[in-house]
Amino acid sequence: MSLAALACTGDPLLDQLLAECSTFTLGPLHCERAADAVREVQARRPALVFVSPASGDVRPLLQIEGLRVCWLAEGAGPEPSEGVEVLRAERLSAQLVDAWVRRPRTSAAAGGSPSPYAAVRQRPAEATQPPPEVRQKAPDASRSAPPARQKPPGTSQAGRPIRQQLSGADLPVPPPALRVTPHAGTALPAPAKWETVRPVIRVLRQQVVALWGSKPGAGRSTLAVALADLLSRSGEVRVCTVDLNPYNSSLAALLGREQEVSSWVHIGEAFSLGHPLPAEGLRWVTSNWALVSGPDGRPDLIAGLNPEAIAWLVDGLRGQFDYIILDAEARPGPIRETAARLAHLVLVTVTCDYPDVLDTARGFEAALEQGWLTRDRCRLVLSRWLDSPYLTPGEVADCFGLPVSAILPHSPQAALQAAGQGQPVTRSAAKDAEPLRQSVAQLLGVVAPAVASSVPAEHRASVGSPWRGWLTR
Amino acid sequence: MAVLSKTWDPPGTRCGAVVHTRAWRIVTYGDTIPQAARLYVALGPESLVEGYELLFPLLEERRICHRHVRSPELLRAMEGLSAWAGKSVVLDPPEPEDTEALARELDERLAGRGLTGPTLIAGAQPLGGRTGLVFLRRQEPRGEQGGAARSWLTRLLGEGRTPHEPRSAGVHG
Repeated sequence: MSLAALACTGDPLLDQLLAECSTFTLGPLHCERAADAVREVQARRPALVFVSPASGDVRPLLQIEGLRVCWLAEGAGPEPSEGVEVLRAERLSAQLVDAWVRRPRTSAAAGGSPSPYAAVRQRPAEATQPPPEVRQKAPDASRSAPPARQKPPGTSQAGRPIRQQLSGADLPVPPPALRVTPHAGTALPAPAKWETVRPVIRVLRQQVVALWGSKPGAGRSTLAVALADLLSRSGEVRVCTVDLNPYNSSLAALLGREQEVSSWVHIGEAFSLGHPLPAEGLRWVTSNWALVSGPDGRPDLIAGLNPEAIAWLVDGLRGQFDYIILDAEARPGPIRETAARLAHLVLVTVTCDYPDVLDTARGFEAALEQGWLTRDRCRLVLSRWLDSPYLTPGEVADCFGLPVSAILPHSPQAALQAAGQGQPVTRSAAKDAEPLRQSVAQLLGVVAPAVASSVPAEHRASVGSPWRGWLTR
Repeated sequence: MAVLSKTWDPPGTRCGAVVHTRAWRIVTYGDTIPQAARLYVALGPESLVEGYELLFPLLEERRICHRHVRSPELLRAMEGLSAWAGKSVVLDPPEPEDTEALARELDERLAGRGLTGPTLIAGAQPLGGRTGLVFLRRQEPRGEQGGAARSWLTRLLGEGRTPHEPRSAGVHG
């Protein structure tokens, strides 16, 4: 289980930054002043509360017993009251906050409950020598990618994507000036150690999208593959689809890769040994689209598919991919919960089946009350939809309290034909595939608006697309 | 949009301490920010510069702690966040009794310039006035979103109703 935290920074952009972090679960709270949050904090009892200079006086929060208060600040500025931990950098990032939360803390420093990730990673070899393993992460990523045999369109003479060159992502990124002020009398690692822990960031977006639902067969895996296909054809975007179905692991089958060894053979072993994410765990569909296949019912692999391992996996993938699509199982449980917690965007998928609407809505309301889903992160997708006067999209939207982002029509012929050919439904030539493709393209505008607007739909799907030759080589 | 530098960084002689966060430029006078009341001036991105030019001299003269969005681009980015949309200038007046009088003064100062902004912002009630740009913070927190959906679901599922009574022994065997 992940650490419960509340954002009370008083700064909407810092709140957004915290929502992108993966090492803790951020409860929904709109707070302009720290004093306003006291009642909420007392009711929810989070382990950690983030504040900033915009929160005003934080002393009321310090009176709550067992609460850690972290002061986020960028650049020079005032110091907080005694007893507040300070994370100050020239420019804060989600990775920096994650690293700060994950850092090993001594028992004296742990005012609240320690981070479970710190507990997972406190193995003798790693606790003392994290830098070499982290440094190996970037070469692993480059090794795991297939070699570029043909220069893709949109790249320069050096063969690198233009975006990377313009952003200077290949250049060594100097770590920001990081200063951690612990509680009085605590001992934390020296700042120099943190400079080596932070990996070089090569990827700009790092969006995690989870597909969430309560019924198997609602089309989540089909949608995950279709979305990843459109994303991967949209330019220099790196996509990874992760199959989190322990029993019905269908992503590999949908892509015609069911004969290959499950990714969890390598990933589970690496996690248990405390190694970095192995390159062998990724199955490359195209040069910018990788698949992490599921355990597919193997009991030994299913045992390794737990929340800690999933968080570790997604954390590792975030450094290598722009979009990570998590296809979580329908069964309520820790896997589905973890996927929803880790995601920046949750696509709640529901069919036009009346019991499915009720069951999914019940589960959704329960998740909201438990605090691991928030409405602002969720979008409603009506899958396998048949128009009927008895259950309209408006009624389903009312039921969930979410606007409908996309309606995927019921296209059994297209879905079955694509599955039989082991290719995404967005590449199917079946008669009823076109409306489905258009709906997925519409959903792409929700998942990745910048990507969708940069490449017109006709370029993405047309036969004469300049990317086509490169991607299907 | 060009923003005059003196607007964003007023001269420091009379100005209090200035703190920058990612979205805000916070100006404080004294050791602590008053927490008694709060006023919002909801300037739209197009009216931001002119509104700041009008407001800041008054706020400096009165030594009122305030914060404002650092750029029109940030204000546009905040428009997507329902809880923060439109809150371009936030004032923390020292005395709660004077809040409404101050709000009316701000409204008068901004009136007649054709300034525009949102008509509603979260957690605040409009003062009215001539511009409609000044809001007073509501004391009670706004209810959580989604109450209607929950009640819809509750009604649909029949929760909270009295248990169903069997009509007769014959019907249920």
